Amino acid sequence: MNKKEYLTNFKVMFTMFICLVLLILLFLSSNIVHALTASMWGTAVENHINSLTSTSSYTYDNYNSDTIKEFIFNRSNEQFFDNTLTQSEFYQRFNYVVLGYSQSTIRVFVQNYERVMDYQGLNAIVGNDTRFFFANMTIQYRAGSTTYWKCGVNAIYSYYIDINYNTMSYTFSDNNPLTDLDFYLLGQDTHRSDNNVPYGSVDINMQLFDSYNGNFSWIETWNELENTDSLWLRVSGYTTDYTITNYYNSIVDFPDLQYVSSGTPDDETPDDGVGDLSDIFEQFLEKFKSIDNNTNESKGFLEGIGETLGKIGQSIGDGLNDLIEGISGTLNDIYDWFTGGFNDLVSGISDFVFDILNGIQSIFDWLTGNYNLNPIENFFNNFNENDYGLQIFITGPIDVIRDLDGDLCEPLRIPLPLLNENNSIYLPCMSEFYREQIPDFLNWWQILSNALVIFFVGRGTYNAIHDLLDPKARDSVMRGML
Amino acid sequence: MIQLFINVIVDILSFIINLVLTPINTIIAQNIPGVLDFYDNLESFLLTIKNVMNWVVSFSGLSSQAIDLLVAYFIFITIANISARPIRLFVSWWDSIVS
Repeated sequence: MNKKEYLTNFKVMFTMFICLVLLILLFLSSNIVHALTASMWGTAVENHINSLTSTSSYTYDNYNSDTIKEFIFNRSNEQFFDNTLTQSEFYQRFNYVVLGYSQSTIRVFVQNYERVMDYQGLNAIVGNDTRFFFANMTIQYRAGSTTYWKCGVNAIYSYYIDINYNTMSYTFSDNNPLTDLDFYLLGQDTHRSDNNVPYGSVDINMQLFDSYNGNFSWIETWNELENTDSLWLRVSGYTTDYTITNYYNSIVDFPDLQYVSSGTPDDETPDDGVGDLSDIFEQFLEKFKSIDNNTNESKGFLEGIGETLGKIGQSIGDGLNDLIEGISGTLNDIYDWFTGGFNDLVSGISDFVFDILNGIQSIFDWLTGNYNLNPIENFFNNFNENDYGLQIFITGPIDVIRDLDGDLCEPLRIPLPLLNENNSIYLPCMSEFYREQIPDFLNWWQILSNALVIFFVGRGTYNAIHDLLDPKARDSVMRGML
Repeated sequence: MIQLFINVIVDILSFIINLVLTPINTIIAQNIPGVLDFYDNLESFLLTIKNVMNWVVSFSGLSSQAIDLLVAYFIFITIANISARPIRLFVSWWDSIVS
């Protein structure tokens, strides 16, 4: 290509580029103008609607605020309640805001927000109108439990009304009636002590909606629940999508037990063996106490230790037998080994380790509670303390890394200096945003990023192991991170 | 499953580290308790980082499998480093004594 051709091509491309830029600017400017106009118009309408709650008789076109308020009540009452609600009852349960507008129409967004809490067999109800009978959640408990948990439900029902300024005509839109439904456990209820609670599953008795596609959000501190044996409902995810259809006046079980896993009544059947290590340690402590009451401390302690070590040995033997049986059994079915058997194996080992740790801790707790151990009292008290100490330098960062999980993201609310909480910066979880807005791009990005991560991890692991095995290397393992 | 592995490994490591460092912590707590405030502040700082990090991870758009893999990798690197140092030290001592 000679110089002249080059310049010609350059001019053509430059002209095309300028045209493209102008087109983009034109597009943006039209949107900006529209947005500005909309903003001004929206502000005017919004100010007007805000004024409706005041007692002033602000006049707008051919009606005032009371007229609008009464209009919303009358049309809603007629549409949903067969005119059974009074105006005060309606406004106790519903509020409304401006959702949108056009040149001749305002759109009023009406929503009901109810939070009802009750015990087992909870009823969330607005009056006796089955139209707004939201949900009936039942959580049943392990037999013999002396613990109930309060449970509750949040339900938001919403619709909107488009009101024409000029003709005062209106249309209802409630094709997306249920915007949110949250169940939550409030905490332990100490006022109930019924020991004869039956077994059962987690049921939701829906009596309102013909169908519902949306989020069931479980809001509770599931770690607390997991650590108690009184409640066998376990929720392993904060937010789960369930799709339930056609359940009018019927009981619906959660369709996916992966998220509502539970123990079974068989959990309470005692094992034929010597029991868990924690049981052994408890037995040891009881034995220790009984012996200690009659003899001297050293004898009681030694006898207790001897007996406990024997039981521990038996337990370890049983555990190893189970382990070997598990491995030989799983070899027959490789698929099961990957899917279930290996998990069980790891769970068993981890339970075994934690039982030992808990057992040691319980012994120390008992010792510190019953003997004068002043010289080393603090040592025992702090034995399992993770809250502070030098270990924060080592285990703290590891804990941070361990808890990384994009799916557990919570929206960030960063308060701004000198402003109140409402003026903080709100950052939603981007993973949810990506899924909703750019799912295709997200898929491609995750394929690409997975490949990059696998390459990075593979190369780093190879370097780390290679350097680890090299006796001449110094501080070489960290090089694997580079 | 990876998460379970990580939890078990980290908990065992934490237990061992706690066991080793608890006497030193006790001495510090009894003699220079002001240092505990520093530890508490450090813990709060890490907690803040922990809260923000999940958002940052979600911002990256990485899949949960990729995140699990990265977490496992960094845990492995960290633990391998912590474990390798005492072993090397022990071997060097042993060599010195034997030779």
